[in-house]
Amino acid sequence: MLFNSLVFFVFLALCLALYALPIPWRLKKLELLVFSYLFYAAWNPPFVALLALSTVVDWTVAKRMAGAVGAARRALLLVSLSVNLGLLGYFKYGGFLLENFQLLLAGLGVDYRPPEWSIVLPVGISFYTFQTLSYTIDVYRGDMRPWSSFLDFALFVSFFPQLVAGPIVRAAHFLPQCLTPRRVTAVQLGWGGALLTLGLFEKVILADMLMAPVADRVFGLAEFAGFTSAWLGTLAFSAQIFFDFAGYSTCAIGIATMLGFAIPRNFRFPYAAVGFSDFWRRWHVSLSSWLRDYLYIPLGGNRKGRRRTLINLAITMLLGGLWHGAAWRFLVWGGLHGLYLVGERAVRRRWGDVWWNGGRARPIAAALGTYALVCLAWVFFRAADFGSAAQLSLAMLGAREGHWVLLRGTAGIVVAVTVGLLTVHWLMRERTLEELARLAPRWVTVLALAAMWICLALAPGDDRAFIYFQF
Amino acid sequence: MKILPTAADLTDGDRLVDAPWARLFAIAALVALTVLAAWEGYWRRHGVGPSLSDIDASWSVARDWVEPESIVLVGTSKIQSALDPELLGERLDEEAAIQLALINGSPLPILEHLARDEEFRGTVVVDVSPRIFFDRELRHERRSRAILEAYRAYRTSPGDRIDARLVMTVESSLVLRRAEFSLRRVLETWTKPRPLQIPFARVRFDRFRELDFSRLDLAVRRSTQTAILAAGEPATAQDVAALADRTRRAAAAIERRGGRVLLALLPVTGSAREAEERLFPRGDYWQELVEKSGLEAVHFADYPELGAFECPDGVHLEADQARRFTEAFATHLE
Repeated sequence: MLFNSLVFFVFLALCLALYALPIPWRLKKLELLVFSYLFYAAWNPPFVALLALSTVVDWTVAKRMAGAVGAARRALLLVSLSVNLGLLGYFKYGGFLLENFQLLLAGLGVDYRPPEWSIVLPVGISFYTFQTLSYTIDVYRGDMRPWSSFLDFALFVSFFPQLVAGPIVRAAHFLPQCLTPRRVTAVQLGWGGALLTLGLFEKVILADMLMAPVADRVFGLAEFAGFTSAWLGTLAFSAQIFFDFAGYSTCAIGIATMLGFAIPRNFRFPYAAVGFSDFWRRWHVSLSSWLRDYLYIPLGGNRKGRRRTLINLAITMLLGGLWHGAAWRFLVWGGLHGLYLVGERAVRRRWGDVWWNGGRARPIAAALGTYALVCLAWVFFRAADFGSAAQLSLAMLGAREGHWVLLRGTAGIVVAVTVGLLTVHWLMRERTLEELARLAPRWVTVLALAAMWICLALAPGDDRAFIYFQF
Repeated sequence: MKILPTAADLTDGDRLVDAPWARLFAIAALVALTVLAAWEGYWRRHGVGPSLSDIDASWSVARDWVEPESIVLVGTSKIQSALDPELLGERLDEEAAIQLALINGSPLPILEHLARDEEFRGTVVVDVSPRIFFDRELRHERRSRAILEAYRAYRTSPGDRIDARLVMTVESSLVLRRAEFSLRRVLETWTKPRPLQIPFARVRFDRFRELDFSRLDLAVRRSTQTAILAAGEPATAQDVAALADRTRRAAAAIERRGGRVLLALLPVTGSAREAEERLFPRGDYWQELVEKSGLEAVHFADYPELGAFECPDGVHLEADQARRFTEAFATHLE
């Protein structure tokens, strides 16, 4: 069920109405659990079984870990890792592995023809498997005790506002909120509703209506695009993916707020990042912090010397890339970000922090440079294949001739949205949306809400799914 | 045991913005509703009614309406604007017919899809528009296959099924949900010198396409339709034989269950008719299909009551003509 669908609004209204009834907190949590499973089943009912499997396995494993020590404890962790990564591997990477195995054998002269792999990728599987894994790993490390209520844990895994596209919530953040009854207040409903409106506006108007058609056109005509077209198409995609994913996260936070829950921010105005470590502290924060805590640091982080740090960074970013999709181009995207991080470390070692603390102009120049390199990496993320990505990259670097492929009038919109986006991110880089909203005069809030509702009511019904649903 | 930081709880206050939200929302809703009501009223005053956007979802909903003994219309925009499903049902003392036509889509994959449905034993009217049906490059078959793929996904998703019905209900009630007046079109008037225009087509809830050409430049429209007819490569004799064989096999499966399949060539007039007869000679295409498939067939030119219609743009009937055409066509289904 998409947040930008009519059926979701009927679902949410029903959920909020029942949630407001004067019933015990335990029943309210049960209601949220039922609605969360209905939300997931609305996409494809049989896949609810996977969600339930992941929940039951991790719940049981964590419970048993409490009394286990040594090898038994490690074996239990292995069960959790095998089930969750096994599900992810089978549904998400099975086809990719089979295809590459076939290519490898073909390279060795063996003609192997596997049966066609037509497995549907369960929506949100990358998110909820990481979420439940973090719980068992926390319990294994002793950072957290096994939670006593199965209902709370099942709700943590399936909580519908963030179930299918994050933010990836940690058990230690969510479960304590289940202890005390969440009361729905007018302020929570109001601010949550405002966030939901803003998120939908970002997704439906800015991402789908304005930016997606330009990106689709340029990436669809990659072999013809010249320097300017390639850049404009990539700028359009960089805005599209931000508004799409940040829009989803804003909706998720807004809906959770309406229900009285707090879930972490996922974006902190990332296109104002100065450098790539800063970028990853601002972009998809819940994933980057997950990778840091459960992959980079266990690999040794930066504690085992310079060379090992670089290797750890590269592994983390490559796997982070692969998390986004089963294709080599996602690996290249992750690899590029790994290289950027390694390069940034070299710059800092050679010149210190001058680009970060050197007056006003240098940080702005560094932010623009960061943004340009992030855009170059987006090409591999969005392109249909390596050929298109290579052609667009070469065009963007001025190494390939090409033509103007944009439709009339669209270039101005891309430039206006990009300039607006970068300006807002820069001005907001040390602030939060809440601070801005508190400063805004009431009439501005009213007009902003009305304008967004009017735009949404008049938006064409394209019904594009959120980009991150496919991950 | 380490203790992790406690949850960033809403009770902390930094995640919430305190404001008189109920009042702010009420005023904002009043402003938004006033603007939207004015927009809706403006277009209604210009005689524009609501219309379905007629995307894949509404086709899927219509497909779900098909009962075992339904009358089903498959084909292109021609049959979608020529046969009124409700009126056709009335004339035949049956439930309303189901409109499964698809703009620029070949009817053959849809017929084959119905043939695979073991429960279906109704009547299928197949609109054989030569440009679409006898297309060598199979572009129109791909369009139909894509919609069948979308239908399969739609069938697995209860959420999509409910949503499609809600969207259709809203679209058939509000003019402001018409794609022709969407925000994207409004923005296009800023970037391109193209004012918003009163649309000539309106798609009803049952997917019947009501056309009104009175505000169109018909000379331009006719030459476009004639050019469309001339585009692409017509099927070869071998292709025609293969298409006829597929049609025969699909129809046979439906007929074995007690159903009926009727081929129809709907009116085409003026320069479009000349182009169609030149590019797709009746003997080589229509006649071959009818003979090789062995199916019942109705060619508009063979029946005075069907051939007396003038298509304003050469290939489509206007809404009032379509009603008279439907009544005349119904006699061939009795």
